[in-house]
Amino acid sequence: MSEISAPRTAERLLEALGAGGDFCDSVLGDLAEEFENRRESDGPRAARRCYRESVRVAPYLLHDWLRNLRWRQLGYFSSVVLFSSVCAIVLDVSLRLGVNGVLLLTKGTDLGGIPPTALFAGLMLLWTAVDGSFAGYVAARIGRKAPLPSTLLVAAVWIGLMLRSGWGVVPSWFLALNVTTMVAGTLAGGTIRVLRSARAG
Amino acid sequence: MAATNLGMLELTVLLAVARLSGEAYGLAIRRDLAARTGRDYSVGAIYTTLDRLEAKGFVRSRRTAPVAKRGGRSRREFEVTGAGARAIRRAERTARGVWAGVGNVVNPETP
Repeated sequence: MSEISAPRTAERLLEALGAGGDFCDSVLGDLAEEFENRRESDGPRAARRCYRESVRVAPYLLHDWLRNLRWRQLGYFSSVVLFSSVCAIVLDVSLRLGVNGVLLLTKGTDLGGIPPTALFAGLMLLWTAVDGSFAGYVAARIGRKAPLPSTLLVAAVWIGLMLRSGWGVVPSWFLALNVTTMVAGTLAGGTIRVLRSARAG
Repeated sequence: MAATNLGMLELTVLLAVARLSGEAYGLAIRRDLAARTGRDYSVGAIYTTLDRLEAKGFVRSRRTAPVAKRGGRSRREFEVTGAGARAIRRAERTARGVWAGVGNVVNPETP
């Protein structure tokens, strides 16, 4: 008997895409069966193939979630986006107050007075990543019906807000980097939450 | 009539379901299509197509008992309905009509 275990991480992430029960069960069942069929003969390659297949089926599971979305669920997902955004804003404001306080004590100026160096831009991007991860984590935590789509919705709303507030105000390269960092951070936060809850049981 | 039209992938999957009578589920259909067309379809694409075919009334599905090697999940097996069989015959007639007379052009040496 081979010791290679089924790629449960991929399975949990696919389940978190919120596809309908029948569709999700059929797809995940097929992936598990294919993995079991190949495990003996292919060894570690079976797991790699399973991960590759998981990436291929993800858009279909997301499409199924979207297809089964009903108007009455709009309120649910809106409240998920709103609550996780408020949480991220509270975190952002708290961080801003803390950093401003430290800067005022040590340098006699706040964030607005710091010259726009590459280091400063890097720190701002890191800040965005922290905000995004937190928003994504909270969205996946409270949007249990579809954790990863909830995370994607939060990311979409934040992209809109960032483009609206940053367009023409900051250099376009920085805006693009900031938006990319936000999306990556949000998705990372959602993924961490899904994997944590899977490990917890 | 638009709802009863068959796309290329829909027809290909419907034919696989007909061929695999009684054993038609995502993975088996995928293997069958890979062997016949050389294309490795994603099971997601196959189930999406099967759902469309079921909505059009060309196939019906039933759940089997849970299978251990599927992580305790059951299989969803498909079979062609009467409407599906009629759609296959119609598609075959249409294909014959469309292909008629093409042989002389693509194989000019053929007597």
